[in-house]
Amino acid sequence: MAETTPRPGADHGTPPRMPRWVKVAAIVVGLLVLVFVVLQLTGIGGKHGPGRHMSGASMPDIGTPGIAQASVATLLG
Amino acid sequence: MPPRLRKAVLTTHVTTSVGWLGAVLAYIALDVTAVVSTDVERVRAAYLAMDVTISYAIVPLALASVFVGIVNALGTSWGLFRHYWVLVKLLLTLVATTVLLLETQTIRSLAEAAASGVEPRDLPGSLPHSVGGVVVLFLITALSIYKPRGLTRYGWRKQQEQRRSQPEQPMTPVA
Repeated sequence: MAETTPRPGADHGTPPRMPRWVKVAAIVVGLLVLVFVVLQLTGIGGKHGPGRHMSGASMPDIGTPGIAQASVATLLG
Repeated sequence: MPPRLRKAVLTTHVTTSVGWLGAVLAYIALDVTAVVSTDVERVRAAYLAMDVTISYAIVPLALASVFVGIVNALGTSWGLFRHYWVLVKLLLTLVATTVLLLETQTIRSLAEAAASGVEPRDLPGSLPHSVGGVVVLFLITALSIYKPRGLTRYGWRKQQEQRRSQPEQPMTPVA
């Protein structure tokens, strides 16, 4: 974000190899995705998505303005 | 891109990106309040404030950051696909924005449930997503500052083409 122009790159005749930091990041992301998939498939992590958050709470169609205003007043004051 | 416009775009990009991170930190304060507070009205208010924060601060800042970031990259010699750090940053930003847009629906539902008179302390909050989001945004910020080296194959080809298209520089005689 700070710099506006790239530093001059090395002059090689062959395409550069993927840097080590990219490989490490790819492995870490791959492992995280794998853990997430395993947790979902085994059910250990529970359901994922909006439905998970709604267990035990009934869903209204619309909000209740009176309660909403009182609650915001509580938070602010 | 002319230098003045480039500076303006870069300023907008930095402002929206760091603003996004700051807005999520403020959101986490509300999220923690919603999860740990025992005061029913405070928890209810926290969910409503989370909905307002995500809808009117976080999402607009995120969309602006993505859009201005793409313009900034394409308008400079960094490009969008030439350097690994820019590419990784783009991917992380797109993933974060997608999860954010999906999460917005969840938060709207939680706020509506909290406002409807349901016991708000039974609602689960959204800390895993918001804390995960801050981690990703911090990584994106760090990538922007450190700019780890590494040209992609596409970037390398573009660099070679540019060098071939540039006229040979005359040798300066050494006195």
